[in-house]
Amino acid sequence: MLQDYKKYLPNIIILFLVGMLGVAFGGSQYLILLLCIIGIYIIAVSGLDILFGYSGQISLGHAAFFAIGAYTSAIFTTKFPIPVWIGMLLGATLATMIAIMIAFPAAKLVHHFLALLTISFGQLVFIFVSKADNITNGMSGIIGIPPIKLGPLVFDTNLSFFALMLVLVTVFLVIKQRIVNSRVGRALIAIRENPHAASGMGINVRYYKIMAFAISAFFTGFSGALYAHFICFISPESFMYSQSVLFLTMLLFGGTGNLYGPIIGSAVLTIISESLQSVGNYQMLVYGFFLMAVILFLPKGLYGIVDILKAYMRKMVKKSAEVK
Amino acid sequence: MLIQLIIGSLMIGSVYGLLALGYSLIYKASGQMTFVQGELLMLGAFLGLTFYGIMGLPFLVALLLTVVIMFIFGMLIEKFLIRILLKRGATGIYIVLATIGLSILLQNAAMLIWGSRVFQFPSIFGKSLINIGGINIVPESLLALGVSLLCMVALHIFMSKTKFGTSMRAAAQDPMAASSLGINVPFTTAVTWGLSSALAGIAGIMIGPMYGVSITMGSMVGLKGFAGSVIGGYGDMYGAIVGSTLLGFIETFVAGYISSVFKDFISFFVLIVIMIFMPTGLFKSKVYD
Amino acid sequence: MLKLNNVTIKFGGLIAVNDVSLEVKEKCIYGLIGPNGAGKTTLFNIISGVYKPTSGEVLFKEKKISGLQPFQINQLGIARTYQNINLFKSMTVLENVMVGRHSKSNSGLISSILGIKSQRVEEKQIVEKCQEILDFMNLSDKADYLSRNLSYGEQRRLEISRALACEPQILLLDEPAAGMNSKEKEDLKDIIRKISDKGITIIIVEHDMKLVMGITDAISVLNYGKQIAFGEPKYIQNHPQVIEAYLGGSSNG
Repeated sequence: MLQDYKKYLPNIIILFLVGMLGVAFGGSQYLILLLCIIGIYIIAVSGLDILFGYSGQISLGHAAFFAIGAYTSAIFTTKFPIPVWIGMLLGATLATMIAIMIAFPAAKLVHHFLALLTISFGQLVFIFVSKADNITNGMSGIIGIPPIKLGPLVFDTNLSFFALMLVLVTVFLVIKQRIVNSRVGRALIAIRENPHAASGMGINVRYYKIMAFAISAFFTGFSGALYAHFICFISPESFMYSQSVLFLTMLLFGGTGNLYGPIIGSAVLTIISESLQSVGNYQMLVYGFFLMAVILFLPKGLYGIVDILKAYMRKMVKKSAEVK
Repeated sequence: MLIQLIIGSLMIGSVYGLLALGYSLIYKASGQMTFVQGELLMLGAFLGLTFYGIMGLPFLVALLLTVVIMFIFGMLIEKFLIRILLKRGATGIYIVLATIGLSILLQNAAMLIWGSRVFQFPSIFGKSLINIGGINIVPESLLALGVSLLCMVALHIFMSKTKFGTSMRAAAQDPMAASSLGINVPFTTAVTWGLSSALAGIAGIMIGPMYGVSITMGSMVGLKGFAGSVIGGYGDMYGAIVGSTLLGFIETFVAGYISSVFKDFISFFVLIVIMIFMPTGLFKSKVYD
Repeated sequence: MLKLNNVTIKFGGLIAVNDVSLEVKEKCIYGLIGPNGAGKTTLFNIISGVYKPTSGEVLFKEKKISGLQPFQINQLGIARTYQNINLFKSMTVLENVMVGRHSKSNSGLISSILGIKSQRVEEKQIVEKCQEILDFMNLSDKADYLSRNLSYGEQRRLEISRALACEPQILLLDEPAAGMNSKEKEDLKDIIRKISDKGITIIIVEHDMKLVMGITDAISVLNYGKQIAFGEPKYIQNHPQVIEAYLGGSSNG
């Protein structure tokens, strides 16, 4: 069993390095906060990757699941004396259940209609969250959301939350890898590549498409809840259509269908958007620009460059072997 | 009140219709989906505002200039974005994403050029209201209705009675066969995108006087236009008009009799319901894998 | 083993398959031939569940399967290859075959996430079984290659490997020899015989007459959706209607 973990060595090293980053930046609240936000996005975008990168279903409304997770947990933990971690699980679960309901019809649709459906769904949730004042407090948002508490540990500082994020991001990424490297993962990829052949190989395409939606919503919903209990304040502005576009841009930019793509995409785009805070309104312009750039020049995302490098290196090794 | 609601429904329905026609035209001609119609509407509105409001040109001149510019712009989008992506073998979803990216860029470019406030589109007919059967109606809404109808009729005649329109339809049905008959398929495709863009631009100018001009005016309307074309059956031109008018009625009457707060909610809800139970729309289009 | 009773399918006004009845006996190698557009692949699509017949029924081991979903039919024991290569392009050769094991395995979402022993054991078994199949099909040295980097003939063999991974009782081969050279066709003949020796019933659609005549036990000939002849290869070879249907094409092959 221990031998299996040898192949995870590079990932463990990266994890360690990131942890060290945290210690190094420990003094800077801002940088730690940034790392936490990146962590939240990594989980959210990994969720989207399972849906789009692996099962090939587009979603331009994932902010909806982010919102459902955030608002459910926020509402329950501010109105009732329940432990935060239960609230978060409730949020993620509700997001999952709603995703399954959407997925039933959505799984049948050709991609442009799926895009439209998910956009509409995202708009629906946004409108609800902004206007249902009795439940969600409307545009004022919800304040005083309690921080995460696990026994005697309260994660109310940036640094403590960062430590928690290290653990949670690792857990979610391990879950994702376990799923995609299993029979379920093969089924999803088969569906993405060739649904007819997948069906011919005994795969119940509809079932797995719905499952992909469910898993994806759980990830993104949970990350929404994390967001709520980190910032301790949420308002509808964080859950607009632009957020859905951002998730997708991060995914496409980093690269779909692999472990590192969402990580790279989340990190790079969060850093860039933070650097542009001074330019304020032009954030969306930059996202749009990135989206276009990725589609036109880097369809495989940044991770695609890694692939190209690998292929190039293989060629070089082969060439030098020939010369010898 | 009822007459006002009916006129309002027809008017907003016809604006959605102009957008919906654009969506369906492109889908019919090249099987692609576009998400940029809303921002093209916004661009048309701003161009009209600039020519008529800022530069003081006569309205008809402003309208004409806008239409021509939007038409050319649409053709440029097809030639330099869509065609290049298709050549690279990009699948439909990436075209969709490209048009989404483009819509974001357009919205923000507009912000850079004109700013993010809401602009007033100067009235075309002065401040006087028309009185029909005892109800006062803003003349611009009748203009919107009239122009939209005119466009739809003109488009219908163009597509079914003229030589070029017929070759466009042929190219849409079977590009290879059309090509072997001497039809310049890339050109007809470009014209399709140009027409859709021009229609969106007209819709923008029509809607400007009534709701003002701002960079965000296109996003909602764009989605509603999309909804209209889906309800009527995506890809069907007449369906686009029927579906959009229907949506206009539902929306306006809900706002009038129930609540205007949830007006948009209802529209999206209806769209989602239609997509769940009758995604092929009223006139049956291809929706499933 | 497989019975088609008066199967007809209409697409709009077009009758693609017209009242076809045939029976495929267990463990035989059955050929389905006919000129282009005769309805052979359509018939395959009906058997494998892609289409539902307008009338008539398909019985597999006396149970009706027409109307079932393709994945259900696969789970019952019918696997197929395709006219145009339908591999999972971004997967490796081994992974493609592993997909074929889907219906013979059952690890679900939770067991995969938790990585419990039964799931890990099953994964190992899947890999072993697939490597066996690749050995059988002479593709094991290419196991880690991306499927899209294989030669055309190898890709065809991979599709057959993937279908074999389903452990089917009936294997439908749709023009497996298309685009192959004569050496590859000889190898294909051997492979088909080897598969048949394992007890798998094979139905093969092919245009290469020499191949079909040389390997099948019984043949059905389709033309314009109708079955115009049925019988052993020798009988079919000299059947006047068959020769006429091909208009002196490759029926003398």
